Amino acid sequence: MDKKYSLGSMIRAGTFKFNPVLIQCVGLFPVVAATQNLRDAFFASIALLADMIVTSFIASLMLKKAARFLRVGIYLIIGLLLICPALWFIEFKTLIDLPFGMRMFLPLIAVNSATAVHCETFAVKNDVRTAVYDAIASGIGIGAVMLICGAVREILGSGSILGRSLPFKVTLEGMAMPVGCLVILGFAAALLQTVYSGEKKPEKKPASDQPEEIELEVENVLDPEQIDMDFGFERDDEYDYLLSSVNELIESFTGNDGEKEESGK
Amino acid sequence: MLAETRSDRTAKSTRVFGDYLIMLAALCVLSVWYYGTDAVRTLAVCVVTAFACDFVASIIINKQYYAADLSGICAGIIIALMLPATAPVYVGIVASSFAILVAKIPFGGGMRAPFVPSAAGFAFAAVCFKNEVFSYSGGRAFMKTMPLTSSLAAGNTVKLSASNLIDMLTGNILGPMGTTCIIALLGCFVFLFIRRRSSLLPSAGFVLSCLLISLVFPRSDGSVISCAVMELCSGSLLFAAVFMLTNPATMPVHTANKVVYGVFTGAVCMVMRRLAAFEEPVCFAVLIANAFSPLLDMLTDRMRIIVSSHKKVKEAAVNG
Repeated sequence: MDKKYSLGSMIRAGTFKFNPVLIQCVGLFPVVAATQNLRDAFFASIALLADMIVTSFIASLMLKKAARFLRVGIYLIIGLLLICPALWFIEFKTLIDLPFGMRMFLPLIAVNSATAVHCETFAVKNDVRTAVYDAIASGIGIGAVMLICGAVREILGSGSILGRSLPFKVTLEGMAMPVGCLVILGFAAALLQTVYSGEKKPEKKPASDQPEEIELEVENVLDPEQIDMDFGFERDDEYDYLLSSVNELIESFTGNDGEKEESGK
Repeated sequence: MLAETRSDRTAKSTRVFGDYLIMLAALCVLSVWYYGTDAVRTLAVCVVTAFACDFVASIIINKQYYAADLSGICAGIIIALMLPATAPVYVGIVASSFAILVAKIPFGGGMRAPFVPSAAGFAFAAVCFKNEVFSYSGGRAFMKTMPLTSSLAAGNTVKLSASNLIDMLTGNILGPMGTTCIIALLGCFVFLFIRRRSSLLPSAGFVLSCLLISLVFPRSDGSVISCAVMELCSGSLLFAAVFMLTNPATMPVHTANKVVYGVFTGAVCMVMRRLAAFEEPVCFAVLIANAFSPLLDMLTDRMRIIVSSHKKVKEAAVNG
């Protein structure tokens, strides 16, 4: 299923329209746990973006023919091999003072579900360039959500931003807790859905205008692959991305894909 | 089965929450009697905030606001009555707006909310402003100054006497401004018994499980009976039994499940009273039980399907 995608359309789809956290509901743990303030959120989003790019690159390059149960384990090991040495280096070889929360949650970011799901549904089924594009788009999507959550939680929960106190007399401690993050995610998801629900959809003719019975004689049924060539890249690109990232996501969890493969053999 | 329209839901909401408003009116009068202008201010803040949030949110999501849907106003009053009369204004505003904007509107209104909005609002306020929500002051000069929940948390029991009992029953003790008058709450139980008998099943299970647990595991060294009476009369326990557990949107459908739901809530509440950081965790217990309510109905439905399919298989085997 190797398709050619443009980076712009993938970022538009992966970051906004099918945002991994807000629409696909994957990778919720790092977002909820590691975004108590904007600084933590920044470190966590950088770590997650790097993890996704490297893991997707390796998955697309080397793991296409590996068994699924092995692949998932390998994603986690790659993440740990990437993040744990980086964490050790930052802590002992640099002067960067990582917050306590980050020391605790960064290793756990390496084993987040978003990376595994995107590698499994997209990277192993596409070429390296497309897989890396998808990782960048999804990583930016998750990172953006993390930064928003971190900023809002720090402002409302602690009455400060990047450690500098704001002139608020009342702070909502509940927003600094996981429940606060889930509330923000809920509203952000609703906002995103509202934005995309306003997109133009093909208009249906009113029932009264349509004849009661229509007999169609279809002689030549168009092949969707041919439409791809004729109608421009963008439209079909988003359609395919939707199929690959949502439907196959569901299949990967329900195991239908695996059953099909086995029956095919 | 025909789908329920929005006007049907509004009519049902008016009926249910109209009953609540009648009961809440009596408690509002009592709270104003005990706490004076402080109670009026807290009530006004919560009700106006709840109404404003409901109205504005309806405009934002392009839905017509039905004044007859009384669930928002009810949530505001319930929150106000669970707060101390001297609670700062922002506590009432935060609690009421959370109840409406987070727990009610996103789920489609008071008759569809999976969690009791007033419990969610109060719980959020308790998490954010623990000191303000659980410190009681003000009130008339003759009121007893030590709240029952604080006494129990410290392991003290009040020796039951006629005067103590009368104080407990009439609400002549510092506490949440509308939840301490036990006689008024018993009156609410009678009203509900007349109006909506089946909705009292969770409350019955809740009160019985609380009573049983407090008898078996008393929190203080004094008399077991005194401890049990104090447990039931303290905090917002009976208030929650009347106004939160009887919420038709969140209670299970099947009769037996209603009792199980109440018993579960009571058990969680009593465990949390002993272990949780909050003096009065009944709202958290209600929210936890709300999460399990649909699960209870789903399990019952599945059990029924399994039993009926087994019967059919047996009948088919008998008939050859």
